[in-house]
Amino acid sequence: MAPKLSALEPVDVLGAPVAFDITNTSTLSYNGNNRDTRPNQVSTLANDNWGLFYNRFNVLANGGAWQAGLRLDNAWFFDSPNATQIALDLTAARPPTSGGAPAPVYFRQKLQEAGVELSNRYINWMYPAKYYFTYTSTALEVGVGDVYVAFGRGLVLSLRKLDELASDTTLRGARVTARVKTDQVSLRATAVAGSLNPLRIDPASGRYLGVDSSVTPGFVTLTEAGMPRAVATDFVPDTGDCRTFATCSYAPDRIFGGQLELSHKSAKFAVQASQLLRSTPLANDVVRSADRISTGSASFELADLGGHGGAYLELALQDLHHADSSTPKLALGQAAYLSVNVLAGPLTLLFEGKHYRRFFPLLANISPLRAREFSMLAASAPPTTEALFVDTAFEGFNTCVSGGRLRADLALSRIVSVYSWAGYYQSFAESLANESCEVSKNTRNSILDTAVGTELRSRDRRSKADISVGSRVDDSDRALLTDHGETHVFYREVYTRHTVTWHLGGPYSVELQGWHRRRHQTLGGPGVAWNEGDELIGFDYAPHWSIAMGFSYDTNPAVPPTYVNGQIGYRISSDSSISLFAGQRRGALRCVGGVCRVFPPFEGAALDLTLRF
Amino acid sequence: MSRPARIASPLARVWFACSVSLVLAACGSNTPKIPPELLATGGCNSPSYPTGPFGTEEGDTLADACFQGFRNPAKVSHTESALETIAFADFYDPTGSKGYQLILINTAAVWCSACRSEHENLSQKNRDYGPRGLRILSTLFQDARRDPATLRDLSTWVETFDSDYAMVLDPDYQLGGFASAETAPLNLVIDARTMKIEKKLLGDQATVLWPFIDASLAQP
Repeated sequence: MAPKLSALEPVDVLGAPVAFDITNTSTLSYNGNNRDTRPNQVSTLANDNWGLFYNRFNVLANGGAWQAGLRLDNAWFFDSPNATQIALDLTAARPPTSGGAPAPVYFRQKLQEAGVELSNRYINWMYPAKYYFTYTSTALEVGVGDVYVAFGRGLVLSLRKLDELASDTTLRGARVTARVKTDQVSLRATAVAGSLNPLRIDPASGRYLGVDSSVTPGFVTLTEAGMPRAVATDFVPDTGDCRTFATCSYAPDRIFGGQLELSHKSAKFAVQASQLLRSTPLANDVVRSADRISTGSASFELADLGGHGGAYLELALQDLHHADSSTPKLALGQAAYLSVNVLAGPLTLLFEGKHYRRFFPLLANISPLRAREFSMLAASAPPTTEALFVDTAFEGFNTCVSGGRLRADLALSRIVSVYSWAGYYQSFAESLANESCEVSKNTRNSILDTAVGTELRSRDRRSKADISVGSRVDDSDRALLTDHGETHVFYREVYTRHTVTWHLGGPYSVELQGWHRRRHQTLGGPGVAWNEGDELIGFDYAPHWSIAMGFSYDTNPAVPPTYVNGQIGYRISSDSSISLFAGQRRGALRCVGGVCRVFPPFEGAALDLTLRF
Repeated sequence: MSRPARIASPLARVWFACSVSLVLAACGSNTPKIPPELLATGGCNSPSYPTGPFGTEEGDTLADACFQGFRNPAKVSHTESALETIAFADFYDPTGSKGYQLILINTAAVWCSACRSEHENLSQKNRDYGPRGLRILSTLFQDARRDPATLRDLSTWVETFDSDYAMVLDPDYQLGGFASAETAPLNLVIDARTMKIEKKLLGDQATVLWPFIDASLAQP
């Protein structure tokens, strides 16, 4: 039975009507044994048998020119693994191998390891994830609190929300944008300053990012007020220094940036710059150990080439400064990105090219040792030029690379179109670490990425299909050493992807989604080629009900072979819904436009409820 | 302009009640009992090794640990009979009498691509820095399926990479307290005179690691 609903009316505040928009999203989930357990490996037991109630409460007050908002996140773990039990289980299941420690030593090691592993997981928190106040007029826009920033194509600064990856990173500080417009020219200037504010709790792993007072000096004390803190446990003493406090996993970076944009008709010229300052590096890699990263770019855009497309060019430089004198000074990083799209009747061409040398994403000051789930968090996202879903640009692929991709779309009729792309890249930081970007045959990988597909639509546009096949060939000039001899094959893949929506008539439709891959990875793979894939079939009974069944498989011997799940959803209204997921979900690296995140395997049930008041 | 809003109070109440019940049901503690035989002390402790407290962070003293492996795989057959016990204590050199100044402790796994690319050059680094006082000890802990590494994996590894530095098996992943297996390789630079951790690096960080070792070895 549908619930009884009542309206929330605007409220009078100081004589002006203010509309309140309240949304609450809750997730109640239980993760059982996700079948990734490996002998002697604490982390594979520490992710089993835990339950979470995760609530996101959003309130937005809209007073016309101004808006104020708050997102309050709340995580309650109603069940979690026990360090002693993990150590006992590992000791009991310990395989007989040579070179092992005596059982009591082994037990003590695993107990300590499990204790540390759990010291920043499954801990209850309630914190103000986002809050902001914005004022908007024709000439001025002021934002205080959490603001999103995207300069150019993300080379300099890119802080945005990615729902697909459950990522929402903002700058907690201020943003001011001023606009001046004449008949011919418009000028826009933007300045931002603040500290980086990612979401602090990862609901997929139960891990949280904690700060302590040693990394929240001055202004950051204010921006970190109420945020999750590092906690001392029986296994982790509070050392008073985030560098050695094993649950202190985050030290907020301070970021300053600005952009000046001049527009005339469809032409736009902009310069933008950012400076990232960090006081206490929590990792020793070349980017996170930099105490200052300065990045600047100039961009030129022609949005309209006489009705036949557009073009965009951005040139950027980056300087990494290290306070630690033992870290060598890298030469200035460079990046060039070009995008050209051409419209010629039924044919659309899109070319994207890039040339990056020592150009790094602005990795956030996370300790990958203590919070590996957050290790890919960054304040910039240099374009990949590849298809959005590509997850096979390994290691430092995009930091030292040249190449591009050409995509052609041809509309054969109103209901049929075909498309194809070919990308060719030379990366010098994929098959080995090469932060200094030494360009040579010894470091070079050559990558050819191709695909062809078709899009079909019914005349009423209610049924559609997108089916494609593709491949990726990645060879290293340097001979790679394997257990079976030398090879130049670094990576191979062929795949097929499809999304089909079939409208059955009336309120009924069926949706089929799948991605099936044949993969071979010389370094880091299981040693043999393997197949993996996901298939989801959904049945929709508009406007309220949907039901879906999913099946995944993976012949990689390091993971379970099959995964089955089901989902049922009920849309209460256009903004409110409830859904139940039950079953197994494959662990995977998921990428959206080069921004990637590792999702651990899941086995259990999750109930999601979104209510808009 | 105001947007029409709605409230779903009965459903919200049910949801809240369910949530509270679950949270209350989760209260309580169930600490498992540890069998007495696992509470015994002892282990791999050389009498001359530094005393604790030990730790896993930079500046902490490294606890001793023992492994089975090859002290110099280039000079022995890669069979079980050639395995010997190798401990961190073997590299402890408080007076400099052994000529050891720094120890590089490295973890590796067969499935780990960064480990493999790192080991392509490790023998050369051993030849370059060994005479200056660097000793390398690498621990192989998992195979391609992420199961504990075996002697066969170790043999294949040292033959593939022509390893000429100490290479041992760590099937228990004794170094798990320093870094989770997923983040391999781990590199620890240890001062051989004190066994203190000077640098802790995740991943193949050649640009940072080797200049640091170079600079450290240059110090008196």
